[in-house]
Amino acid sequence: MAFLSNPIGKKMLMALTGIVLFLFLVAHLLGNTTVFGGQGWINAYAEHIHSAMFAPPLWAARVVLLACLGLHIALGTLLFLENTKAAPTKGTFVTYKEAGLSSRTMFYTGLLILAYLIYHLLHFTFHSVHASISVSAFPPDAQGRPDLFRSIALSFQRPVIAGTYLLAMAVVCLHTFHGVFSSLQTLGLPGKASLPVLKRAGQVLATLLAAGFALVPVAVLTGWINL
Amino acid sequence: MRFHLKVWRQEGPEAPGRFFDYDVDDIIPEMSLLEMLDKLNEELIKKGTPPITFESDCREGICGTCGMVVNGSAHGPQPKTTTCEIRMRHFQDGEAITIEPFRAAVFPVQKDLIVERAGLDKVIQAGGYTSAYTGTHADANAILVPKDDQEYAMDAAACIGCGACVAACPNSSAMLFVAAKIAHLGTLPQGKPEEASRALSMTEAMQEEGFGACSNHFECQAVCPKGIRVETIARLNRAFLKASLKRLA
Ligand code: HEM
Ligand code: FES
Repeated sequence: MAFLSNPIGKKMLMALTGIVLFLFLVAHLLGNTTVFGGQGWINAYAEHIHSAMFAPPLWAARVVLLACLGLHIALGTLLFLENTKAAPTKGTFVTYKEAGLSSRTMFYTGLLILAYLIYHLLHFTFHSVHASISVSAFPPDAQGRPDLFRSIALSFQRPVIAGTYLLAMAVVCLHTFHGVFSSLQTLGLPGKASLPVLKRAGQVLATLLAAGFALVPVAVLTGWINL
Repeated sequence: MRFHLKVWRQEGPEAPGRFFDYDVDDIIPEMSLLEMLDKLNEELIKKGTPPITFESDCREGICGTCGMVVNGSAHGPQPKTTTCEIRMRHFQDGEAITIEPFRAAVFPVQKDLIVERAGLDKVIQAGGYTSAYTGTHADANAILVPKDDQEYAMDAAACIGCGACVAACPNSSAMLFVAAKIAHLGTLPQGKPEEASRALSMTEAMQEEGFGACSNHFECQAVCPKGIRVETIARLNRAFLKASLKRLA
C-alpha cells in the first residue's frame, strides 16, 4: 500500500498493466493475421481458441486482462486528477518543447479506447450491435465452423464500420506512441545511451501495431479480402 | 535596442493579477534581462509607479533565485541559461517579450514575478542530505571515487533548485529536481548508505507538498538551465523500486 501511495509506485503499476495490455494487443494482432489466409484459416483459428482445451487458459487470460484494464484505468484517472490539481494553469502561453500530442492526451485517448473497446466487444463478442452481420446470423461454413470470416468481411464492407475501426486504431496508436516508451522509462530501464533508442523503438512499435490492426478493414474495403 | 514588454503584475498572493504593457528603449545588447528590468524599474520609480518585483541574487546562474517564464519558457528561450544570464542580444530588436511568474499550484505567486518555492525545501528536508558524521576535514583523497562516478555526481549536483522543471512540467512535478539530488548523493560513498530511505522519503514528500507525478513529457529537461537529463529520472525510478523491494523484504 505504501508502494501505491507513492507517485512513482502508482506510475509503475500503470506501466506494468499498460505493458500487459500492449502484449495482449500484440497477441490479438497475431491472431488477426489468419484472416489473410482466407475463410479456412481464420474460422479454424477461431474454433480452436474457443475449444474446450483452450477454455481454462482463455479464461485465465481474460481475468488477468480485465484486472489490468481496471487497474490501469483507475490509476490513470487518479494520476490525471492529481496532476491536474498540481498544475491548474501553466501561464498564458506555453510553448511545448518535448511533450508531443501523444503524451499530452493520454487520459483522453485512454477514455476513447475504453469506448471503442465496449463497442468492439458488443460487435464481435456479444453480437449485440450489427447483429444481422454477426457470426450467429450466418449458417456454419463447409466444415461446420462458425463463419467468422463472413462476419468480418461483411462488417468492414460497410464504410461506417470500417471508418470507426480505422479511427479507433489511430487513437490506439496515439496512446501507445507515448505509452510504450513511457512505461520503460517509469520502470527505470533507460540509461544515457539507450534512452533515445528506446524512445524511437517504442514509437515504431506502436505505429506498426496500429497499422497491423488497420490493415484488416483496409483490405476488406479495397477488395483484397472478399467473400 | 527597444522592446515591448508584457509583464505579469499582481499585488499579493490573493490579489488578481494581469499583464501590463511597458515600452523600454536605449537597451544595451549586453544587458541581461534582469538589468533591463532594473532599468525599467528606475523609470517606473521616477514616475511614481511601484517597481516590478522580482527575485535575484548571484546574477551568474548559480543560486537559482531568478526564475521567471519568458516568452512561454521557464528561464526564457535560451537553452541551458538562467534568466539572469539571458542577454538582450538574444532577442530581436523591437520584439514583444512576455514575462510572467513560474506557474504551479505549489508555487503561489507572492507579488508580481516572485513565487513561494518552499515546497522544494520541504522535499530536501525529507532526505536531500547525508547524515553521516564526517568529523574534521578529511584528507581529500582518503575515500577514492571512480572518475565516472565523480563526473556523474558532479553533473547531477549542478542542479541549482530553481524550480524551472516544476514550472515547465504539465503536471508541476518535481521529479527532475528529486532525481538530480538522488543521483548526486547516491553516486558518492558518503550518500550511498541512505539511498533507499532517501528515494522513498523525498518522493513521498514531493507528493505531500502537492507536486504532480511524472508522465515522462520531458519538458523539464528542455528548460533545465543546468542541463540535468531525464536519465536521472530513470535512475530515481530504479532506486525507488530497489527501496520498495527492500522495504517488502
Ligand atoms: C488497449 C488498451 C491500453 C493500453 C495498451 C495502454 C497502455 C498504456 C501505457 C503503456 C501507458 C504508460 C504508463 C506510463 O506512463 O508509465 C499508459 C498510460 C496511460 N493510460 Fe493507457 N492503455 C490502454 C488503455 C487505457 C484506457 C482504457 C485508459 C482509460 C482511462 C487509459 C489511460 C491511461 C492514462 C491516463 C495514462 C497516462 C498516465 C500518466 O500520464 O501518468 N489507458 N497506457
Ligand atoms: S540570480 Fe542566481 S541564478 Fe539567476
